[in-house]
Amino acid sequence: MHWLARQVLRLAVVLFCVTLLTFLIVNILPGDVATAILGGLATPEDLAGLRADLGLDRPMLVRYFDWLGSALSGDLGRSHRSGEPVAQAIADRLPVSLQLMIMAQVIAIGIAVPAALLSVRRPGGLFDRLSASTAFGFLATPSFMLGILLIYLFSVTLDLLPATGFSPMSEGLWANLESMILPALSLGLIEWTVLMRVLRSDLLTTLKEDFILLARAKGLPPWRVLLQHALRPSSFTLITVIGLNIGGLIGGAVIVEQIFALPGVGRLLLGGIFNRDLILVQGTVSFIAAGFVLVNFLVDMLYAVLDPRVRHVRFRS
Amino acid sequence: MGVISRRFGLMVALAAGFAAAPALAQAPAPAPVRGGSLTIGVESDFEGFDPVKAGVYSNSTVTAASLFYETLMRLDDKGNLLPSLALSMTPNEDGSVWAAKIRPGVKWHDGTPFTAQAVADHFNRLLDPANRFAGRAYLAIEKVEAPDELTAVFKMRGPNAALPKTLAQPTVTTLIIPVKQALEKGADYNRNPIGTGPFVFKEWRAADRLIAERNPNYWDKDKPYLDRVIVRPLPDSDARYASLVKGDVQVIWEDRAENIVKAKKDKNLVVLTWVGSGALVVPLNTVKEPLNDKRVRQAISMGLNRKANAEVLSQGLRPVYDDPYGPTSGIECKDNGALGYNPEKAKKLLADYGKPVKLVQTVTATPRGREGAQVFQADMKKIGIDVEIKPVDQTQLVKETLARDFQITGWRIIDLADVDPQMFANFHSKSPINFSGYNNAEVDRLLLIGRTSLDENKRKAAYCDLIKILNDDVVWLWTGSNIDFAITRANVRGIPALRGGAVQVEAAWLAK
Repeated sequence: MHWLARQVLRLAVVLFCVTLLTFLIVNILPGDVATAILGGLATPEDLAGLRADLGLDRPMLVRYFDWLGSALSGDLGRSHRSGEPVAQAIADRLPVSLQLMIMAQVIAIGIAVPAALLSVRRPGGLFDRLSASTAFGFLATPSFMLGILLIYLFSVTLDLLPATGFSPMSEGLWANLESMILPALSLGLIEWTVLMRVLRSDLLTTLKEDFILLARAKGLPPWRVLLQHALRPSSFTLITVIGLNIGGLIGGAVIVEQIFALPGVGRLLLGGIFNRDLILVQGTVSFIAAGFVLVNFLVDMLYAVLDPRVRHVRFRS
Repeated sequence: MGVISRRFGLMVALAAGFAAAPALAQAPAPAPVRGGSLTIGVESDFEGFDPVKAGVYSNSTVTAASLFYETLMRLDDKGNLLPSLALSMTPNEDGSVWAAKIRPGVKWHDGTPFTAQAVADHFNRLLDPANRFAGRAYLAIEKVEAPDELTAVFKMRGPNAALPKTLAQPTVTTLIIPVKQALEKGADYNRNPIGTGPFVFKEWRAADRLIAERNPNYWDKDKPYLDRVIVRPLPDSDARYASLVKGDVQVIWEDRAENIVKAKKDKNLVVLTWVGSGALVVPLNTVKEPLNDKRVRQAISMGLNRKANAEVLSQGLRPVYDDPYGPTSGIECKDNGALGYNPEKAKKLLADYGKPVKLVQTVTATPRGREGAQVFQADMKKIGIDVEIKPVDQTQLVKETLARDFQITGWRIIDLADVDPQMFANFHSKSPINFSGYNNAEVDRLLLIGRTSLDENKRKAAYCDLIKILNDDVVWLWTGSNIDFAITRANVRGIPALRGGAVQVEAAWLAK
């Protein structure tokens, strides 16, 4: 319980720092939402009036703590630009971003694990070298470029998948999956490379352990040795990297949602930044930060599931 | 209302009465085919559909808003006035009062009748300073009254010849919304528009798509031809173009030169082009040193190779003119006083000025902003002027420009059917938007003629005299025309001129 309390406290501190920093950064950016709403021709009086209406004429810290008070009770405020409640806007767009990130992660793990297992069967062999080269190739490709290449290959040339847009589940499972395959591939095809290299490296270390030698000595076939004995103890770094990569995945999702015109949280955030919609940016960034910390918290919990030693240490503490 | 000028009133009424349906961009066309669904890919999501709450409409929003809302008059592709929600507009003797005869039998989408009072409510709401609608700076209207159900009377701040054309182009100001319903619905109205237009709002999934369906009670019984229109914000231009090639969308707004050049070579696609009025411009701050000296301004104008630069920046797609009127304004001047490209003379003028010239050019921190600034900087270096590029965010550029806190900046005179609102606002010495600080009594006089004279030839002559002075004084540089492109699948017909970059589909149809 003590450990859990520490994690919750950590989450609170991180969120406080993130929200305060976001608030400060958005406030020192030149331009503001009043100019974005009223346009280039607004008179100074109109701008001042709108700022007063939106409460933007109050001191920065007063506004921050006002917002924080409301946020703690679940009210993230209303977008200055559209008047839409921020929590509602996030809730509406969250399923799209979550689906994108989950599918990307499934693709990444789905490629990384078999590729790593095949690579360590014969380190330095043809497959190992080929997978390493392919991985570095993908790693060097930005997701926005990969997205456009995938569109031209699978949509324009092969006519297999839609180029842009999102179909909700209400339009059918296949329609939904069809609209998400290319965006998820744009992220997953980059994400798998790091996972594969990390897992390969850990597998090679594990394969030198005595218990692996014992398993082999018992006459177990190589695949059983790899899957049943080596994979699990080699997965710790992989899981840590998956947790940490959520941050990169969120960043990638912002770009991919923009390219594929997906109505996700990333695009909501980008729109908020362009419009200097402080409340919207504040709410979205805080939500993403909370999500990031929470995922890493779950990753920590997963260690305990995978390794009884971790469970034991935490229990004692 | 005062006495109506019979001659001018007759002219507008004739133009309205005899003109046919909007000319189609892809003539010759057989009889339109009814039915089908059309998807349009636009650049950005929509600000909302209540002008007071949205403040400004991007061309993406005008594309969507034109499905639901209409203007009092409309324009054909040649700029002739046509009737729309008003059957005619007639001025009094001096053009200070205009009477709009409202089309009878028109209904809002909720079934309530459209009346002159709705017209008055719409414009008076925008004019009310309490609503802080910034676009009112361009409106020369004092107030609008509705003496009876079918007459809306526009009382102007002074004689104004440009009103019918100004009200004919779809913008955040001129597209008429039902104020009563908007106020009743409050914040919800901004996302659930009601209008009189050819399509009825069905659904808006933010950042994804807006869906509209045919208005079965539309006053123009033949139209619209399409059953359904979907507008999708597709922000990435390459992905937008790929969606068109794939056939996911049938029309896109486009500004990326590479895609337009590619589309012109594709037999499955048709490129629609519209060179509007207005221009891309580089305003100079005429009250700050060294730009308060005419020799320096003239040197800049002569040192800038505008045509070569536009060729490089737009792959030859964007024409450059020596005025901000454009080829569709109807203003053709024999002598526009352009100084021309003459770097040697520019160097002599700078030598005559006698001091080193260093300038800061404020531009938007976008690839387009930077590219434009870099070619400007390179040209200026050739004549001995050092230019420092200052990239800033769009909102910051607007703020600094309006506060006259700049030396050279980037701006745009938007595409409007009549040049008066923009020219008056930008160059009249008493205008709050004259951010170059330019003050010339003769220019003020000519601008007043352009605004007030009901004699079209006199207006045109005044604008020609005006451009000679502005080109000689080098207040702003005209660096490129306002050009808009849309690309359609080959079977899409009936999209009119892309005024203001908006894609209007009231008369669009899909060939078999």
